[in-house]
Amino acid sequence: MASEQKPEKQDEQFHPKGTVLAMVIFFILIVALWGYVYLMMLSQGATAP
Amino acid sequence: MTAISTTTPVVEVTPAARPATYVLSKGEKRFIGLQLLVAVAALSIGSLFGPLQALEFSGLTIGGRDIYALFQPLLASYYQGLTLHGVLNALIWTTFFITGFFNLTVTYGLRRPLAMPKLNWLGFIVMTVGLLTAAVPILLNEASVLYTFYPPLQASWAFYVGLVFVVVGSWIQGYGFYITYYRWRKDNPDVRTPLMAFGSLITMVMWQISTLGIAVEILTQLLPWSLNLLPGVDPQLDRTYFWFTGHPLVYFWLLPAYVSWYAMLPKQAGGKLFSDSLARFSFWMFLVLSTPLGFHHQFTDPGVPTIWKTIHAVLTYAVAFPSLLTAFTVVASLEYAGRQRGGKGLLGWIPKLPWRDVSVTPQILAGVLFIFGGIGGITNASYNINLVVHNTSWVPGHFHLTVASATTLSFMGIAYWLVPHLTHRTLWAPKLALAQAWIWFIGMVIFSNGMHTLGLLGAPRRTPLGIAPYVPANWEPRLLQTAIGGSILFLGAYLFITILVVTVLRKPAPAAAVPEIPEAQSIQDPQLTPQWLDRWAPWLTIAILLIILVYGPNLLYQITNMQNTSPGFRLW
Ligand code: HEM
Ligand SMILES: [Cu+2]
Repeated sequence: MASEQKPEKQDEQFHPKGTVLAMVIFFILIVALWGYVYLMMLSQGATAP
Repeated sequence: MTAISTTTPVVEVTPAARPATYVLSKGEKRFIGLQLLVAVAALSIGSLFGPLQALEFSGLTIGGRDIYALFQPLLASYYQGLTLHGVLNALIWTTFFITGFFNLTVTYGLRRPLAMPKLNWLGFIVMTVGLLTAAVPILLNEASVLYTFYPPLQASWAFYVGLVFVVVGSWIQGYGFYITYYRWRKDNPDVRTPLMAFGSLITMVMWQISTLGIAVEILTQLLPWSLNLLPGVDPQLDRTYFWFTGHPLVYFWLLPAYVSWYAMLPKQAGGKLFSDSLARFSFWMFLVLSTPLGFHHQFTDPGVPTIWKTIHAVLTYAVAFPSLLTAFTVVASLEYAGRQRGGKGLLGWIPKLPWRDVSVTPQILAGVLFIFGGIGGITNASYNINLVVHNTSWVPGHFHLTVASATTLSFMGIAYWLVPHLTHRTLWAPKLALAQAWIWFIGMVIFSNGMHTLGLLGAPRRTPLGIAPYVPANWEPRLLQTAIGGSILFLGAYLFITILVVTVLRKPAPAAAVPEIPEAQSIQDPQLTPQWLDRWAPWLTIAILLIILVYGPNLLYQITNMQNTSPGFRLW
């Protein structure tokens, strides 16, 4: 109901800092694990003619 | 980083007060419960074979023979078992759970009964008849074609008819939802669709569009072929039809879990949804982007020109975006909950989450496993890197993190409140249920890591590796790891089933002890979400246009150059 949905005090100050950090870690993980398979591809001779 | 726009003044825009709750009738509960029953029954049989496959990998022999020899003649081969595993777990457990769950989310979300409950019953009956029709040939070893049923492998006609019925039955249930929504919309023209119903409806529409692929494949090719009305089929065209459905299928599995993560989990965790607009936007993105990227499963198909593969690869990165958005919004909602519960500092909110809640913990663990599923997915989607992992055991390693974790473990968490709610029981052994979620999580980490690594070492998927003569020494420890993980998962699956069965057999509990349906509020009043995020026409138009653009030309080419030359093969 609309009346329940009014933002409370804490809502207005809520900055999801922890979430941003988690997302940064997530992106680093993506790059690292993707890179690992990429290097594996190279090591399997993907660059040979 | 900017704060979310909660500074916008809240105006009273809600036209009509929404009822605070809706009590499901006995009949509604029974109907939902019945669908869950079929789902769990399928899981209980399907989950016998996964661990068996994993054990087989370890080379376990009994009396000098492969373990599959033990089960003859009941189970003719590894491939009959693998077909049962894929069909029952990935197709039946998921679909029946989803339609049952959506009966609840649509009814409760819209605060009204289904407009035509008999239509939904009809859908369910058609699905069940389909399941039985497909089960007979699989059990008779007349359809050991795996859950992808690629031609030229040829199954008994009954298998194809059964699958069509399951799909058409789910469409019929979808029509029941659309009509209910249509009536609700007439009564509530300016109200934002309640989120749990909104996400469910989009999922059903996406499913409706995308399953046209296998419907056409079966009705125009496989079924007439299996009835000898067509001398042969075109395997390339059929793979294209299949993957038109096959990738959106994974979103059909995932989005119901997202419905719970967005619209229920924040409440269960003691907080609110971080952003109603972001949630809606990501559902629309899934409607638009789920289908036009199926060629990313066909990177090695010679009959598909590179340019189309490239376009689909690019769109696959695009669909990663709404999943990242989901990760952000759901984690932010959990952070909000953790802070409400007194969490401080950057990450201090994590231990404050209700980790003792039997429904919250499985869903969070499902999300954690999904992070790695997502990373693997991005790797699969990378055109050239895909060649390293294509058709290796990396791929099942990947999708056990998605469908068998993000989806299945979330559904387990949902079942832990839903089954007590439907049956008026309290959950049996909640501590054991909590342990069950961790067992699944740990088993999956071990199993999936083993499968991924095996894949990188070159082990093929869909192969009884335990009897393969070419296994090099460096696979051995990983095969054993996979078997150990698989055995732990087996324990997890059967604990789940036992807990549900004992729960249902308990005495009814007083109403106050039975869990209610959790519905998360959003931090900002959903009425403030822009109207374009609650309008079907633009999104549906874009979705269909995009499909025509990126599938149309090549599909048309394949259809007009169709060569129905391949006879059926039966390799079992
Ligand atoms: C109970 C624990 C489970 C274990 C130990 C397990 C194990 C396995 C293994 C080892 C394979 C690979 C077989 C091969 O490629 O030769 C496999 C395939 C598969 N699993 Fe599971 N699994 C489990 C649960 C699940 C669940 C819950 C789902 C879905 C909801 C699922 C869906 C699939 C699918 C779709 C395949 C591919 C079948 C195919 O290649 O045709 N599994 N499973
Ligand atoms: Cu895909």
